[in-house]
Amino acid sequence: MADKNIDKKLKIFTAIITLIFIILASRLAYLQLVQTEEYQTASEQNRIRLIPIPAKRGEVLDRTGKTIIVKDRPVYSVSISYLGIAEKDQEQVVNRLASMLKMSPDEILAAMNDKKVRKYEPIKIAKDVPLDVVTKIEENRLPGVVINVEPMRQYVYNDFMPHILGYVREITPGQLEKHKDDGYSLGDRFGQAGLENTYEKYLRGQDGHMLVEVDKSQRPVNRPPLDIKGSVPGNNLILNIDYKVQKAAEESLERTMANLQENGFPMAKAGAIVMLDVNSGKVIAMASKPGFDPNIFNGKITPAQSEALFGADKEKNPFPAFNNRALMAYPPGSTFKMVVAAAILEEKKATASETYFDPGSVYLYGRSYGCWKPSGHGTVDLVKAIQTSCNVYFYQMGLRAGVDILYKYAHLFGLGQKTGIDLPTEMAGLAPNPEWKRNLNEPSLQKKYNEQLDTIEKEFAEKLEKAEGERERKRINREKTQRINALNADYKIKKYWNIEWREFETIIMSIGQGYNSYTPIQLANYIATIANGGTRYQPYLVDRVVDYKGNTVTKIDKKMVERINISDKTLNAVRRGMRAVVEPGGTAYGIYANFPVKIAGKTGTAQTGKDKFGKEKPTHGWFVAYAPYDNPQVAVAAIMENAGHGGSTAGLVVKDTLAAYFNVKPSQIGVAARSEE
Amino acid sequence: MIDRRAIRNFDFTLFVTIMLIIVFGLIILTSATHATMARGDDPYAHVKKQTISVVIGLAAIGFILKMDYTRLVKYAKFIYVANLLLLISVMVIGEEHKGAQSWISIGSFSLQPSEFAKIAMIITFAVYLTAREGKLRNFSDLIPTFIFFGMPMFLILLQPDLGTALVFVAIYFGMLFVAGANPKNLLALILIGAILVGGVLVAQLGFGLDKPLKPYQLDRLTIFVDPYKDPKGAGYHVIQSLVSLGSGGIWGKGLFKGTQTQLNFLPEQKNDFIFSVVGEEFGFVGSVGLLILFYIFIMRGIKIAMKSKDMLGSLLATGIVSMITFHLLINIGMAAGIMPITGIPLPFFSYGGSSMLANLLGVGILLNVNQRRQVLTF
Repeated sequence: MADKNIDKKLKIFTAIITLIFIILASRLAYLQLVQTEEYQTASEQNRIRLIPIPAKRGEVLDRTGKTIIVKDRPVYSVSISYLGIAEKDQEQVVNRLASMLKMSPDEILAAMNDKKVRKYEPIKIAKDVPLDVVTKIEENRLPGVVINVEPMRQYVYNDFMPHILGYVREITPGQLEKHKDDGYSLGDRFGQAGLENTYEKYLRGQDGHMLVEVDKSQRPVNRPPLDIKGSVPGNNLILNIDYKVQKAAEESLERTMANLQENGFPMAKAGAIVMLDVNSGKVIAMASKPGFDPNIFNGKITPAQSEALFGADKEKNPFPAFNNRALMAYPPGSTFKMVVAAAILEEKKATASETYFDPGSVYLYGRSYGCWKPSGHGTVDLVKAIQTSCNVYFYQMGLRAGVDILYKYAHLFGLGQKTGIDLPTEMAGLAPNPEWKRNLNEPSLQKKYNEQLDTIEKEFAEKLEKAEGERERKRINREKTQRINALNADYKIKKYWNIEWREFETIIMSIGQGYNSYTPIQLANYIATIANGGTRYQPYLVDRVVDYKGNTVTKIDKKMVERINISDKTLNAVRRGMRAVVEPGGTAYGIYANFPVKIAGKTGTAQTGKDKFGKEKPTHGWFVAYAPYDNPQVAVAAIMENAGHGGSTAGLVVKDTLAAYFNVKPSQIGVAARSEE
Repeated sequence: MIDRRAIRNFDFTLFVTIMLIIVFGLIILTSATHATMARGDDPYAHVKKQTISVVIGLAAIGFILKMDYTRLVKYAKFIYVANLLLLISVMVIGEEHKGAQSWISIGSFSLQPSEFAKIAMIITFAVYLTAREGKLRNFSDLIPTFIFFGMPMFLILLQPDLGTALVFVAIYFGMLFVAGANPKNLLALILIGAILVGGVLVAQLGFGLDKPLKPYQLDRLTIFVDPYKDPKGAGYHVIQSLVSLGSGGIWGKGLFKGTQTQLNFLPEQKNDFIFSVVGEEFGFVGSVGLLILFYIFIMRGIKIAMKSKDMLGSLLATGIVSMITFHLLINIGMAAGIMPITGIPLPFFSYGGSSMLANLLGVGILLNVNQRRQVLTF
């Protein structure tokens, strides 16, 4: 049928259809000829995944280089890839996985729905999964479930020197931001405390990666990887710590604390000890109790663990385990007396042979100051004063020296300053002086005074305005003058006590009380300085960094902080005093009576104030020492909180630790005895 | 019955073109399915099933060629009623799949009546319009056609199968236009339709109404404008399709080597997005080559409509051409990101027996109209 009308319409029809085809072809040309590169990139991004191969983190070994204290252990982890599971299968997969991992499905769902997770990234569900469970999961081939091998930190001896080691945990957003140029990414491990933190850059190693082809469910396709770049293990740390000595120190702390708790000191629950090499500042042992097991940081920290570690509630847990007490400041008690002794000799305020008579107390500046021994020590010279820890002697010697000289020597011995040990946190403590006191209190007192003065001025300005007649005004002005005078008098008293340094403060400072506040490591370093003839080193834990093949990367040399100008004569007198402490008549004679190594030491008993009922709280016991007396090798300082006298507490811990260092047979260590101070 | 003239009038070009398209389609279907089958299943199961559909379809063409298409006039009423009954039965005993109740299962096969409904409507509407030849000038003449098309369309929208309903619209306008309806009236209708659709979109997008389209349906329809606003959700399909096509470049990644396809990033690769497989593995050359094959096919169809001996033949050919063209426009346009996702298959390519069979019936009708184009004079 040759209908012209139809023909015409079909021609229009043809035109429309041709147009449609041209549009489609043009669009295809644009996509496939113009935008090719863009879409090829997108296609590669779809199928190629960069799977990081986490580097093995470096190990930590003791000074022998043989005892591994921290290492990485390969463990299986189970992850879920969000895109890998069809919505309808999700519930089933989650339920089956939960039952195999013995978790609750809600836990898995919570992890999957975590807002921080990007959808294409596998979500880690479980770590350190046992091999039989891994096998079971593999056999079930659950969609979207991925099993990886990854390294996990293992602290081989659990709660052994956790304060030194620290712990690792996933990098925090803040750390990521700070270290973004160092190639960290979300989920990487990062040293959070201790050596793990200080030596992070050596320990971390270099992550490798693998380029693999994945399908839509993010499962690697069964083909060899497209590219592999192996990881480089982190470097190992060889410590100055001696495993054997450290272990003895920790055990002794625990044992001594347990004994004390049973024998009248229930709160003797914390303590610390530091042993330094006197000729280098190497830390041979550094222990703090209570301790913790850093392995717990591989998993979730329970509220109970968190409480034990960080002790948010001071009433319930006055001894947070996370604190490294070797780096925390305490009043030093009588261990400070060698500072006074050195100061008076060196500044020629007295000679070593000059004596005082100690009748048991002394009356100074309108007050009586007692010795710890009520009957007194009789006539004492410098050596005997140190030996017996005679307070009366040191009160007067302290006054003779004056606070500025005491401060100068405390400072010279490194007290009240951070030692600079290679750990991230350390307290400075405080060596007090008048300037410090003034700065502490003057600004606030002055401010308060000015405010009160202002109030008075305003009050009376108002009153004067309202006043009628000259008599009234005169009366008001008189009243105002009285008020200002009263305020001035009050300020004067406050200034006298709170701003100006008072003699009584020098007196109590001389026996290590008052504002003095030092850390065990400072005390150990001060004793080391006395022992080695006046060289103060910076204590350090790491001797060298070696790579995984054993080549030394960095050797850490001893670092002298200060060579203090103090005469041998002075030091010898002080040393003689310290030696006498463990000789007959000394405060620690009982403790060290049969000890085969010749040591020099000093006890300390630091008062800690009164409790809320006005009762004296138990004292902290200190003991500092160096040994051997003739040829010093090591210096030690130990504290035991709320434990009574220094010798019978910290003295025992020091003895056990020295015994371990000098390989003293257990039979020669002797039994615990009472010390006098 | 088949005389020499009938053989001489057999449109070999059209037949060879369609066979090329089908073979190409089977190859692409193999690529789209063999790698992504579940472990243990026959990787060629889909291709085998599709081949059976092709064979049945070719047999149906042979059967159609034996009779004169003019005899369809007699069966038109029966076809129309049967079509309605099938569409109603799918509402009653049909099975739901991917959110639409469009399938009736018969043994291991499932039948998709809406695919056949398109052919049924082409046949019956051609007969209907032939009877009203020359009486379509006025707008009021169109009113009965609303009812004629409205009933099956309504049933299809109930499934809901928006894509097929749109194909109906294309068939309707294509056939009415050729049948002689006043183009002004048709334009007016299109305008009214556009205003209605625009109104619905404005109401739903602008004012947050959730009817008549459900929010997810609306999302699917509008996401192609900016698929990156929901790249893991509604936009995922479009983005992966674009990536497949675009990454194919000029020559493609090679058969069975398309990573988007083989690693399953491309969704619905054996159905709605099978064109993207062509584009990825055979590149621009392959995808435009396929377009050219389809263009040849369509042009042959229009030629058949022109040369038909009667109005009925012209309208049948027009209907089939409209249907196939519209499928191509929507399906390829969707794969290329310029048409909304309505889920209609690529003719002769997408996996599905009903669709393949219905399209081959269409080819049979075209061939039939062509064969009998000369008025027999003896």
